[in-house]
Amino acid sequence: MADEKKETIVLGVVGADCHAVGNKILERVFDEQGFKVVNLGVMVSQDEFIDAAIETNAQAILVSSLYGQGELDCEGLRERCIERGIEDIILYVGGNLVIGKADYDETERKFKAMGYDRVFRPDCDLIEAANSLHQDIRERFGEGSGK
Amino acid sequence: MAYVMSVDIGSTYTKGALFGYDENRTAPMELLEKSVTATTVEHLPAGFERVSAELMKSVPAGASRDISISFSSSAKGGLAIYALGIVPELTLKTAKLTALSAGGKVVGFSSYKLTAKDLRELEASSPDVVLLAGGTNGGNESFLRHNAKQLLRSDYLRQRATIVFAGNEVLAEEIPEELTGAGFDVRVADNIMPEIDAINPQNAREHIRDVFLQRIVKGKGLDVLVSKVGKSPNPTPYAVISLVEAISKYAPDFGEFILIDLGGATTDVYSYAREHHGAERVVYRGLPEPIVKRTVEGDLGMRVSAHSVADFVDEVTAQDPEFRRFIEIINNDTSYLPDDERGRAYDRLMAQTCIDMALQRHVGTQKRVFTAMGDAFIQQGKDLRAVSKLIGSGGYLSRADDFIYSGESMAGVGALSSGEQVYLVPQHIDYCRDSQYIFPLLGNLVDDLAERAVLTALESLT
Ligand code: B12
Repeated sequence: MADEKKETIVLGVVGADCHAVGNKILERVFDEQGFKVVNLGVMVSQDEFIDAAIETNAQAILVSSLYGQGELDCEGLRERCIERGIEDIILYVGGNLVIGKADYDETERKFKAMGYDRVFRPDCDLIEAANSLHQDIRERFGEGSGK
Repeated sequence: MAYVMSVDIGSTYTKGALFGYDENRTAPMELLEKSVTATTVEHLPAGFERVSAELMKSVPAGASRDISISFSSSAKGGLAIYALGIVPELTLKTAKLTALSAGGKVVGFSSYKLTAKDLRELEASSPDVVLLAGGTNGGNESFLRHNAKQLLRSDYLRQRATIVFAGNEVLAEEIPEELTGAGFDVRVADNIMPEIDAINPQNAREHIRDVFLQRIVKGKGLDVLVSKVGKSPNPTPYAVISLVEAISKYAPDFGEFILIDLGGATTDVYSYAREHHGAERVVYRGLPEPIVKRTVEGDLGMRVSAHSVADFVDEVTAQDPEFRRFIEIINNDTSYLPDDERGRAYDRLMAQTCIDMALQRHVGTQKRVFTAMGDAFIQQGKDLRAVSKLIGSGGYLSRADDFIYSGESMAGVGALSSGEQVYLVPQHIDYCRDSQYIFPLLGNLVDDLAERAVLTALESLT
């Protein structure tokens, strides 16, 4: 039952987006970094992320968006989390969030305003992302908050 | 030749059949005699004895009188189950499926936090069992704790119901101990949804069946029968599920199929079929569904539910005064059998409508979504489009040699026009009947004579 102390995260690619490769890599890396990963795969709706997070008591949701409609698909997730009783869950988002090479700072600002705790570029360092997630979970939910 | 007897104590009729078989050869059994009598509601053994005595007469002199009897009971229409889960599409849905696959009927349900109002409604629905689910293993605890606390407040539940705990295993000691300590009858089953995309109804289903035996058997003299026969009864739908499972196992060549049990008050649909067919550009969503799936429609039936069925027929017929008179007649006299062609035509229409609606609710759906790459389809639930075998069973369908279900009336809901949702109903139907109405009876024999019961069932189809 080594699983019992692990922090749980829900992972998926949001909206009608079917880019599957990055999702598999994320699953692998976050698993290796000590998380229990609930991977919902591609084409995941906001409510499916939340459903899975509630039943598994996850500490974070990691949203990917690769096809350029990120803004549209990601908006409103935080509000729905609040509505459904997991208001303090950590939300990360990453990928090709907007079309083309828009200014990254501008993108980050936008997604943070939507309630995402951290925003990642496609070329981000995944180990660093995992480390910051461990840290964010500790800060928000306390030491040993993995189930 | 060896002999075996099967009896089903239904809510209206007690039916039985005597079969003979060759012990040295696995072949279809011979249906030697059938018998039926009105169910003796106050003291069930009386009707049972009448039927079994009648059947005994067909056992040849000289053969041993010591004949094995299996029986089922649909007492109270099955065990009344209240399903509790967290997320409606996840643990609540699994809880409902589990209750139905155990042969119970779902009298109420609730998701997330059980409120005081929910609790009042729960009590008003008079459940025999509360199926308390929620959370994957190691997952959510808070909702489950809250809901258990609410249940603790109910004197009704303490005195009259069994709580089957089938949620997050982390709480599988704490919550049952608390409930037991407060005087509740509690059983602990495996979590029905141990992980997000895995369902596990089997163990909970067995616990529910045990509760059925324990509770149902106490009333109406069934305990007398149990000690006499030396066996416990099955819930009737459980017997049918056993037969469906046995057919899939012992007659693999028969392939995927649907069985409809159309009654006076309800329509049960059983399907044996894989959920997915691995089609291209189809994305599967939602919970996986069991390969043998049962759904029950409480508003669809030939007599008791006539009024609600009448709401689903085409508009012209619905307005027809003759039809409305027919509905009034069968509503007032639920054992009415039409003696003219017009009445029989109405019965056929009722049957077709019940099957249409029940199938539509049983199958999965696909929705077209437009992506930058072209169209894709999001599927939820079972795709039964390629399943063609449909077996009709139940008082009306078994008898009705003038009725054939073609599924043609369903062409509309199975056709895709852009952006709409389609129901994955069979596209071509090969209809046949359980013409002797022996499927539930054969279901009782699956424990001891599975292969013979299957061969007999398939041979009896017309
Ligand atoms: C392969 C591919 C496809 C394949 C996908 C096959 C499949 N099922 O996976 C197909 C041909 C189907 C496809 C279709 C489309 N694609 Co395409 N596709 C690509 C391509 C070439 C590679 C994607 C890939 O696998 N990358 C490798 C993985 C490892 O990287 P990644 O996906 O970026 O994921 C990593 C990071 O983003 C990051 N990450 C992602 N999410 C998150 C989340 C968090 C929290 C963190 C920390 C990190 C993180 O970590 C991941 C792992 O390392 C890219 C171009 C490119 N070179 O990236 C275009 C690309 C993504 N596609 C693009 C487009 C536009 C499309 C289409 C809309 C249009 C089209 N004309 O084909 C459709 C969309 C279909 C749909 N409904 O989704 C654009 C997106 C434009 C934008 N956002 O600005 C790209 C960038 C090409 C381009 N330059 O125009 N595509």
